[in-house]
Amino acid sequence: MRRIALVAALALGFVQPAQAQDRLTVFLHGFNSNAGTWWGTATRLQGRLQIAAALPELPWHVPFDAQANHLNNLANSAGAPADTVIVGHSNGGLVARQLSTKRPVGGIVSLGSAHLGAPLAHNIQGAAFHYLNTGQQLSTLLWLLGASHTNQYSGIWFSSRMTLVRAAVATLGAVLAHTVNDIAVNIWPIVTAPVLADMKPGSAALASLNSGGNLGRESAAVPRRVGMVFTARDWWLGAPFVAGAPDKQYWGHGAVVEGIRGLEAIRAYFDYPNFAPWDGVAQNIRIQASMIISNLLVYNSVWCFATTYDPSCSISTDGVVPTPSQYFPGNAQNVGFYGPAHMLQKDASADALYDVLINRIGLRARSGAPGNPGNPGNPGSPPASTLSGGERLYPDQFVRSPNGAYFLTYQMDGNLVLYGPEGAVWSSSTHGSSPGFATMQGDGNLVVYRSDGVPIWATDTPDIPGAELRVQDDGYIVLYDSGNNVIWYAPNP
Amino acid sequence: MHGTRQSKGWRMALAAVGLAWARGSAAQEGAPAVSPMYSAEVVVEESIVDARGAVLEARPTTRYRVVRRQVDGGVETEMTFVAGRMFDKGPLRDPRGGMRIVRSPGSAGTQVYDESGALVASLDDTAAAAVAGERETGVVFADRDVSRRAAALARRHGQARGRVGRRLRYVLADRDGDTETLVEPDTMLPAEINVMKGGALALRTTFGYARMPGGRWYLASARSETALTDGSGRRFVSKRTQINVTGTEGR
Repeated sequence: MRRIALVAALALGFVQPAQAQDRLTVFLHGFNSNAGTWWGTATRLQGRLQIAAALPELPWHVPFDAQANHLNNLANSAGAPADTVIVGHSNGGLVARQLSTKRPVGGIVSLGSAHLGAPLAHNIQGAAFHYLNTGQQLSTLLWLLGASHTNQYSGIWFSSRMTLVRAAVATLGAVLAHTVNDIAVNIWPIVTAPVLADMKPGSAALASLNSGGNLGRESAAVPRRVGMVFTARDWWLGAPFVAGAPDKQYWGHGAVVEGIRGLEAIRAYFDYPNFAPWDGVAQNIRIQASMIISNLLVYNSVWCFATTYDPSCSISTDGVVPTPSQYFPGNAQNVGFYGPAHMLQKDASADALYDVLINRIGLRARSGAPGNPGNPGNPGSPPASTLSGGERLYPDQFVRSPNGAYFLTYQMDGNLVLYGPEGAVWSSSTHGSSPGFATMQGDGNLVVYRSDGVPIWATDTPDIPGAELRVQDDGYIVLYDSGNNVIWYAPNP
Repeated sequence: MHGTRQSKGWRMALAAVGLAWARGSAAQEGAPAVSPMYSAEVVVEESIVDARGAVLEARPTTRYRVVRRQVDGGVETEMTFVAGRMFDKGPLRDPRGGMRIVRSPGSAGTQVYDESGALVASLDDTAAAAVAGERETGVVFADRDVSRRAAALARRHGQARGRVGRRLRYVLADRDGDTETLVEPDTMLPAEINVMKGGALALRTTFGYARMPGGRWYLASARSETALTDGSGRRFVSKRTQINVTGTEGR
């Protein structure tokens, strides 16, 4: 394995060039993060690409321009060349764009960057309050049910089964408290950070970066710009967990649903006609349960509102940044990925980033280094809304409709699935197969291949060279021939 | 003191309550082959309002159908939640859709089934029969029971302390605060309950009744406003409405 050493004297976190032809590639971290979070991916990429990776530490809490100044000073002192490539995660992508206003840059790749702003910068306090309040209400209900020895019901004996439900409700409270704690530890500090003002949609900093003048400058000065756009898997389920603890997403959602059901049982027990509607004690318990149920029912939509201003979760996100905001504006290229949540994107995207750096930025593979597993030709990723002849979807890659509402993804389970705002609307029913890739072949046939190269599904539309698959705003995937005639579509009515 | 007796009754009830998570442990049981003695569709609308009553947050509406049947040993109550979307658009669905809660008489207790019919929770209620007389009221109120309801009110609250408008005013003071209950004198059914804590109105509930054939009433609506304890002046509003009510139950 290639040996990588940090050049401590530069104080940049630059990884020492191993060979003269290595191209300096700087990996920037986002807010409330650090350079070390890039270490694993940068190390892997340097082993496979002709790059000298640099991992500078950024003062993530200061405005974009101040971070760019800091980075520019480091680059000047290190004599960074004009063809330096910048890879920025989250705010790092915006700092990279800001840096390009100060010095020549050879290329920019952004991952999960909020080019159009992050509503969470506005709404994090409200969301945190909601979850904290729910936890407090759970405590109140437990108090009413006699969990405390100091209340008026002290002395009530609960059966062992009641102890179980108390434990379940308490666990739910702990889950919520854990989420709040995550927010407090990981996100809350940014509430007071000056960079927060830059991150809000419509901020002066973003308006400047996205102005027509600056986009034109970027187009001319940094012709190779790529946005890596992420949509978290099932972003609407366990939404706050997707942001704070992605590995607990489904467990967390299950716990909340279980809690809702248990609380409904409690509410039903203390409800009319089991107890008189005017029975004050029963009513108090019932109302407490109602408030918690109500809060839990909207726990997903509260996070969706916080991240997108849309409580219906109709706008996809990576758990933190809305998908539409991640598109690199102007005439940059954008590549979509379905799966990794915001905080996992650096580690989960090494192979995808390899493809982007090779095919979109123009970096070179090291001689003798392996390509991507199952990616022999290192084909380019598909454009945002079409899959043209020869293009492929590898596991977790997707093609999104122009309006962002639908996306066709080739899943890790081998299934090619079209998702809409309400979930899956069509699939190739090839789940359970070892995933290879889905490809729009040059002969006009859309085919799903297993990892061993065996085709297991196809549209059976061969002999139509020049055909193109489009993921349309109306929720259909349609094959068109070169004369724009429909030759196949799904889902069938 | 009536409040003490009530608490004692509660302790009896709560002492027998047990809830167990019995995830997936049983299949859905078939409904008894008996005619419903009461059925209604229940809509619960909830929201957070500000101090002036303006809606700040509308919460998801809860809809279920309630059916009461006479079965061996007493009355069974079944609530079936209506599947619904959380919003007009988007992927969010009400996780309670298709869920059933069945309260059975005697020691059978309460069971919660998910949309697939799997038993997901149960609530033991072995003392239901023992305490039913103190807390279970039925769902229909007959004109002929006016005097019985008046006696029950007097037993719980003592004598009326004057009137508010034409309604009788009962007051119960205990460590939880002062509870004022306003009762329609013609029916002796509570129309409004106000709970004061620390000199402030903590809870206000109003009840609306509708007429049924045969000289009976049913609770058509109940609306409660609960002051949130965060000092913001906001209130949690819950309004429950029963529609499409049919039945013969009453006493």
